[in-house]
This record gives sequence, C-alpha cells and structure tokens, in this order.
Amino acid sequence: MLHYFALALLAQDSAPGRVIDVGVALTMDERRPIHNARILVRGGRIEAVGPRAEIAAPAGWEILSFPESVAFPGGVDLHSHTQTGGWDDLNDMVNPNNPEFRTLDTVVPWNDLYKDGVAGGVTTVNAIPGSGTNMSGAGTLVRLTDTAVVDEAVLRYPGSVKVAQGYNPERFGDLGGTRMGMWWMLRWWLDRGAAAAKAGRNSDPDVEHLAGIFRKEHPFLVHTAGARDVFGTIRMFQLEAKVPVVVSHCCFSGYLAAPAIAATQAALNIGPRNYDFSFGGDKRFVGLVGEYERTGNRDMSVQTDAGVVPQEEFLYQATLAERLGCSTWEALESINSDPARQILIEDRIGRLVPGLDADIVIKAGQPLDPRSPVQLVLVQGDIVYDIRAGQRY
Amino acid sequence: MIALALLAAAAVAPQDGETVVYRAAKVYTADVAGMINHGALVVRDGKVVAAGPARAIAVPSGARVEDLGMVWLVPGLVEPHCHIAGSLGDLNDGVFLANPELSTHAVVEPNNPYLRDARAGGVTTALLIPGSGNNVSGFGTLVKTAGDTVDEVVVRAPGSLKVAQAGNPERYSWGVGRALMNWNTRDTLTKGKTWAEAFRAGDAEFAPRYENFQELGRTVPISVHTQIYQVVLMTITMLGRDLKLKPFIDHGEFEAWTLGPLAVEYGVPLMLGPRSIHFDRRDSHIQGLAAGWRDSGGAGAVVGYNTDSPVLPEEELSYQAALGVRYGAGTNEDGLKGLTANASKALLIEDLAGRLAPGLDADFVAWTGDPLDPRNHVLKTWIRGELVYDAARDGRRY
Repeated sequence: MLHYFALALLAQDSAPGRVIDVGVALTMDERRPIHNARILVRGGRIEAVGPRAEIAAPAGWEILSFPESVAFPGGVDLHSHTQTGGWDDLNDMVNPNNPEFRTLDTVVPWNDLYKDGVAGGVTTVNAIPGSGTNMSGAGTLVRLTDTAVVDEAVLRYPGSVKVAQGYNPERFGDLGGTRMGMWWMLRWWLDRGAAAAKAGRNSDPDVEHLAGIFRKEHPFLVHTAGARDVFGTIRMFQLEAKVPVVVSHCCFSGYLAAPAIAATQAALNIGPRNYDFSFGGDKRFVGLVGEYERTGNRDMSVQTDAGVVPQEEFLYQATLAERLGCSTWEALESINSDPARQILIEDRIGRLVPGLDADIVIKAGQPLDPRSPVQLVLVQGDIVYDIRAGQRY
Repeated sequence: MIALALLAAAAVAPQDGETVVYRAAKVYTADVAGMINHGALVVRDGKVVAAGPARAIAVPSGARVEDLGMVWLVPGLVEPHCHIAGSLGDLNDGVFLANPELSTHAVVEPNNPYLRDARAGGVTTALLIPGSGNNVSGFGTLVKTAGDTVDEVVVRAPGSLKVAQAGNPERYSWGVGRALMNWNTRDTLTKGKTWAEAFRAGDAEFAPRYENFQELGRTVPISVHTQIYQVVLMTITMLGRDLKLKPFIDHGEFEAWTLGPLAVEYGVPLMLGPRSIHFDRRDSHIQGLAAGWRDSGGAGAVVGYNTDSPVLPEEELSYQAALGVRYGAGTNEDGLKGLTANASKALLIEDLAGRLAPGLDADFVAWTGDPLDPRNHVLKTWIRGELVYDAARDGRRY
C-alpha cells in the first residue's frame, strides 16, 4: 500500500503542471505586488512565483493566461458554519462543555454554499460548531474543492476548538448563568486538557481535542465580544494557560480595550459586524478593524460567521474594513496570510510561495474591489471555479 | 443662540454673488469633458459657472479658492425611484386601481433621517413617488435631499406620474389580472391626455382629477414600476410608442432585459434596480441586470440605477452601479454616468442637475475616490452651492 502510494506521488511529480500568467500577483509574503507575474503549479503545490521575464514556461504545461487580472492566495475564513450546506447540525447543546464533539462528522464537502464561497474567492474555511454552549467541540479546516468524500476535503482536523465566552452560552437556572460559573468551568477544562497533554497522546480521550491545543497543534477559537470578554479571553487562554488562541468576533465594545489587546499581540478574527455604533456608548461610528489597527494591533483577520454573512461575501468583509478606516495592506492580509498564520497552518496555505498548496484566486481587479468578479479559482492546483462556465457571484 | 446659528450658517453658505473655485485631484463632469485630472469647479449663486482643468480656469477676481486636495469631485447622485423623502406611513392611498388625482407633494418631509443618510451617500436629488399597490397611484415629487421647508426642497411638482403595470397591483382585489390592468391604465392615461390637450387648447373645463396631466409627456415623465418580459413590453409599446407619454422603466427586472433593442428604438430609459441580478433557474446562471439590457442590444439606451429606498438604503445608491459593473455593464464611468447624467435624462431634468456644466445646479460631492468603489466614502456634499454634509463637521454618517 505504502509502495503504491509512493509510486502515485512519483507519477504526480513527473506529470506536467500549469503555468499561470497574470497582470499582477500579490504573494502576500511581502507587501509588494509582482507585475507581469508567472506562477508555476504542479502536483497541487506552487513551484515558482515571480516576474514572467525570469521564469520560463516548462514545455508541455498548460498555460492559463489572464494578463489583465490579479492573482492572490485563496481566502481563509476562520469562522464559518456552512459545512452542511445550511444551518443543520450546528450545535449539540448537551452540557455546558462538550470538547469531545467534532464537526468532522457533519461536513458535506462541495455543498452549494461552499460553491458560492469559491465564487467569492474563499478556498479554505474553518467549519466550526455554534456558540450555544461554552465549549461546543472541534472545528475542521475544510478545503472548498470538488469532492464527495469528506477526507479529501479535510485540510486539518481538528481545525480549532470552539469556545463561547458570553451572551449565547449563558444558561438560566444552572451553573453557567453568569460569567463566574462559565469561566470557572472553562478553567477547569483547561486544567484537565493540560494534564492530558502531559500524560501523553490519547491518555484522556474526552479531552484529546484540548490536549492537542497544549501541544500547539491547533488553537482555540473563541466567540467573544465586548471589552470585558475580549480581554478576559486573552487573559484566560493566552496569558494564563499559554495556549494558542484566535479571538473571534471582537465586536460590540471590544475595541475599547484595543490598546491593552495590542500589547498582548493577540490573534484577532474580526466580524461579522464591521463597525460599532451603540456599544461604545458615545454614538460614534467606529470601524472595528480600523480601530484595532489604529491602536497598534497587527494580527487581524476578517470573517463572515457564514451563513450570518454569506460565505461568498468574505472578501467584502475586508472591503468594508478598509472603507471604515483600515489600511490597504492590513485589509489585504486579513483574508489570507493573517488567518492562515492564526490557525497555525501558514506552512500550507495563505501565501503564494513555492512549496505551499496551490490555492489561488484570479480576479479581474484588486482583491477587495467588488466592482470586479472572481474569474478563476484553483484549490491544490485544480480548477474549482471558472467564470467562463457561468458567473456564480 | 439664534445669532450663533446664523453665524454658523454664514460660515457654510456662500454669500450671494460670491464666487467659489473648488479644486480637486479629479473632477468628473458626467458631460462631454468626462473625467478631468487636476480639475476646478467654479460656483456662483448656487449654480455651476464652469468646470475644467484647473490650469485652464481663470480665477475670477474676488473669488474664494478652496483646494479640496486628493478627492474626486463628482455631480450629486440622482435617485430616480425612492419613497423616503416623505413620511413612510403615507406611501400609497390605494383607493381605486387608478388615483391620478393624488400627489406625494402632500407628504414631503424635508430633513428626515433618511435624507440625512442620503446626503452622506452623495445623493442630492431624488424622485419621491407613491407605492405600487395600484396601477396609477399618483404623481411623484422631485426634491433635493437638503432644505428645511417643502418649498425649499421641491425641484419640480409633479415630478412624474407613478404607474405600476403588474405585480403588486394584482393584490388590489381578486380578479385583477393583466387584461384589466392594461385596460385600466390605458383608459386612465388616455382620458387624462385627451383632457390635457383639450384644456391647453381652451376647449375643456378645469378637471381636478386630471390637473397634473397638463405637462405629462411634455416636461413630466411617467415612472413605471415594471418587470417581466410581457409587462415591460407593454410599458414600451403602450406608454411609449402609442401614448407617447415619456415613460421610463423602473426595476426592469427578471428576464425583461431581453427587450434591449425595443427600449432603444422607442427611447425608453432604464432605471434599474433594486435587484441587480436575475438568477436563471434553468441553467443556474446569474445574469447581471444592467449587463443583460446592454448585451441584448440596449447599449444605446439611457441606463441608470435606483434603490427603491427604503427597500435598499438610499445611501447605497452608488453600490447599485458598482454591482452593475461587477456583472458586466460596461466601465466604471458608465456606472457613474448612470447615477448622474443618465438619471437626470430619464427624469427630464438634464438641464438642471446631474452634470457639472454651466448653468446647472451646483450639486456636487467630494469622495475619497471613485464613488463606485465602496472602499471610498463621501467627505462633503453640496447642494445648490451650499455645504449640506461634511463628515468632519457633522460626524460621518456612512
């Protein structure tokens, strides 16, 4: 079996690849566009990226020519619930904390909402459970690619473990009615996860998802909003437990703690709200990403919470971030390179550099300009969307 | 306090007879000159005096020069179909299937919060029309989006006659179908038109029911709620070709875009929206609405966009054109022209608003960049030369 697999790999490596010629490539590895760019793709990976003048097209390779278009890494949406193609199987709310649950068993790959997402330039989503309980289970990093088999669409399992800090998971007449109870329980589970990580792999199967976090294999992704909860999340997970955490939503008045948050260099995954008007208390119209940036935060991704905001409007979340005060490059990074780093998979996706997966979006204009549509999307080098077969978004 | 308020107003409103020269990195005239780099706009007494390259425009003696810097200066956007310039509770008195005696002039509400948002979205002129619950729901009113009294904001009353050809009016009662509706609309319009012709010739008594028909089809158009191929066909042929009452198509949705050649032949403008796309269920294909009209042979038609606010927020008018362009309706400039000069053409106010050309109202807006790109926003809006929205002064609203 192993032998056969190795043969298959060899065969793949010697097969011809694709040459992608574009007007501009944004590698997102550095804040610099490459004009008249060429990308070589083979075996699902990127082989070369650079100015066309410096890269020869290997003989026999298919050439995809989009001389007026922009190529950039596929969108990585860390907060998405569209894994079933609807709102089904979102949240089994048995106990306040169910870290043993996982979305992996509910994923419908290449469902209609994922097809929409691809037409909007998204190639990877973190398919996570809901926020009805404090700990609702492990999410799955899913590739938006044309397959009926879940395993072929899974980029990494677990993608993250979902925690919800306040609001939605509050329970009435039970432990967890207030933040005192909820946060006490979360710390209890953190202690148990840390102990399991120390005791060895699969020593405590119920908290194996948590043990993986202490082994730095994947992060927590925490639903949290408001200045108290956002900073409380950072304190509990990042500063005290010292585990990787993605702070998700960050909305309402979260930005009021933004300078203190900046000092922690926390990973912020902002949205689906783009702004605050009422929670800050002074009737000021505040763009969230822009405000976090202004106060010194640099590690920011956007998200849709799809289907709260449709999966295909992921790039538009960054468009609005820029409209409401975020700088252009921060906004561009918030859709691919930043979220890939936050979810601890930057060695596979999020940038156009040799060795990474060939998840590439080709668009008729700048990524965040909604006047131009996405034209072609490749996932692991395979074409999964082509506008010439009909514009989907 | 009053004195203070007066002082504040004085700081904004140009003095009578004062000439102001605005300079901007880009001036888009929506006129023959199109886009001008390093442009200048000369304004006096609420009107445009000149627009052109800054180096070619002489500063009149005594004029104040205001350099706006790195902005796009663009004509105020013109909304051909809205319901927010009046009280929303008075949308539609659907007494009969045809109520041509009614007018939104009675319900104009200057300075309501929707209009303040409209100014923050760069919209300076809007047609306030009644709803589409009956075939002829009354006359609309053309207004500016700033001003304190009804008289101040009204540009033209009547602004248009609102006709709804099918769809919503079918809910009027059981048994209302297109045969009855088309007869009813044709009957009402024919009677009104006949009366107006006779009245102008001195051959008819004054008839309150048809009072507003005097200028209909001359200086006042019909704004027609119409969509679906067969219904739009009737709009073009019955209202345009046969009755010659200068209709323009509002909505134009679903598969009606196949009528592009006919819209061109009979000169019927297309004010599209609020839907920007048609989803063809047979082949799972998204058809951009404006792109469809254009590609089916309607490239020569006057194409613009509406929000049908409050269906879509009035401040999102510019985004309607952005979506048009996204789905293939020409260039950015085509989109911008659709929001300005083309909408004015449909409303028969092309000599009043929608372009930065001598003699037109000085309605203009300073944007951080191309209005069609939603990463940009409005910095300042002027109506008839007066600064009516300033994000820095008033707080940014959108």
